[in-house]
Amino acid sequence: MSFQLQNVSFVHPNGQRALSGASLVAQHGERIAVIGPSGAGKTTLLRLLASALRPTDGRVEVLDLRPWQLSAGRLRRLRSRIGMVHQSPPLPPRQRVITAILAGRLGVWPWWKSLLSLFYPADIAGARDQLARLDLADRLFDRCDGLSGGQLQRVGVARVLYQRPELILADEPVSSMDPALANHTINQLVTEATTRGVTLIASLHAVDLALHWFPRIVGLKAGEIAFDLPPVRVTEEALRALYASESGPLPLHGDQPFVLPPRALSRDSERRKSSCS
Amino acid sequence: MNKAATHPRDPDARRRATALVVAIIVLWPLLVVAQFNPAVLFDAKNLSTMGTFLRGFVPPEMSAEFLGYVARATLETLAIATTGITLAFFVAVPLALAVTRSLSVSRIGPGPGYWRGTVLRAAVRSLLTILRGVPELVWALVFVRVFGLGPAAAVLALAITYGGMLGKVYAEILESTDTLPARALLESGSRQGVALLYGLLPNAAPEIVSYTVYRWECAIRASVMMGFVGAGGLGQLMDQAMKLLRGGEVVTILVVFLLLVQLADAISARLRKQLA
Repeated sequence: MSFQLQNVSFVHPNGQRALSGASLVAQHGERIAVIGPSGAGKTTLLRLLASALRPTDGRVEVLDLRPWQLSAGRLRRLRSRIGMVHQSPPLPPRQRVITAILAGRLGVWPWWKSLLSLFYPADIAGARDQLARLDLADRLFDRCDGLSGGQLQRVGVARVLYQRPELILADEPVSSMDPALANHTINQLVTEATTRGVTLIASLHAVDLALHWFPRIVGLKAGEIAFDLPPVRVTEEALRALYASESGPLPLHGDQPFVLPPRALSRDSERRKSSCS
Repeated sequence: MNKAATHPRDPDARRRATALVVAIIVLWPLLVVAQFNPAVLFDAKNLSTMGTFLRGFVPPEMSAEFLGYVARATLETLAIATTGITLAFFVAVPLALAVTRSLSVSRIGPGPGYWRGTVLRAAVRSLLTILRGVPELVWALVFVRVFGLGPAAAVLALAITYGGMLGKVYAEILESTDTLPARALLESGSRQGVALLYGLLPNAAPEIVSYTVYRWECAIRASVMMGFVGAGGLGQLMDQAMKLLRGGEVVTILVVFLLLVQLADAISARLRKQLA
């Protein structure tokens, strides 16, 4: 089992309830998209899985371990096996892209290697390979403050690819990218997950991307799981109900009109065949 | 229609006004206690006393022999300040690492060791207060008794007091910069020290460097003060000049001071530019 949430609730210190009684189980190698309006609890759900937040109630199990029962050392090792792509990548503006990517392995590198890598990057080729997958290899030695929002998000993705975690969490990983780039970046995350057989769970604001790339869609609304379905069974009514609190049309990443039923599953299985062969 | 709706008010205005009034009420009696009275400066008798004292300052003493003493003493002062601040740095870094909340792994969650961490931070914080609470001059007086006259006493005094100051300010700089990068690294299994290097230092380095150089400048001044109690350097030279009422020598030493402060300023500007 990759992770298991059992009746998990989370209440922020200010009393705001972000998640109530959520239960979710994922087997190793599953790919799950979490969709829902802003403030539905998507980030909270991912941070609970990252063992960055401790649930107020309920039981969290990640990679067959219960994070909050572990000693400090074992919790640290568990965290190093989980990769989180942040919506606004937490990268120091003065840091170089290469350093930001290599930082993905700080959890597993011995301290002296991390220290030496500041004087001369420990794995230039490895960092470049991951950045090249996202079409950004030419910015390897630039500083993060010279990059646009979408480029920074790709550096954040490259860091997690370089980390090679057993559980990939992505919190709106493509929110600052144009449709083509967003599609390409999600493709890389999905490829990474399928080739290494690790679990990928991504929160996405854009419904079309979710339905296209993920065989399992979890709808989150007001801190509760509204539905948990394969994309072919996600109806337009379910989506309208999910986004009822947001005015206007359904949030999409591309500008094409939204078509149901999605071709997600068929396209996906084709792609999977080609990447695994 | 009610008035509040048509003229929106700043809800914080009353709190700011109260703070201002309280500040004035607190500061006024302090001025009185400190016997601050600028009129005394312009009293005729005081003016003439000051005049005589200042007239003794010209011309500055420029004899080769005296300049030789000054050069030696300057070197000694620089050595005291630099060694002192280096030792202080090594005292400060581990202590700052221990008290910086944004580098605490156990605060995430909170996880295992949360209370131990909280108690440790409080303990180290009070240790920092003790270190910098006793003025370096007092430490110097103590150490002069132990080591005898000479620079060793001043170096140790600086290491202790400035270690406390640097530790406190380093921790505050680290907590006032963007802490999210370090937090993200801790959340993916980095150790504390590594999260500091990769997550906080890139943002905080220019401020830390400029504060450290500024403290080095302060250490130069402090080592002069400690020279008055027998800890060597320019201060000891100045103490002798003052006691012998040689104004010219005093002024030469003061000029050297100004040059040293200028030097510190230039170094700081240069380093900041390089790290920007």
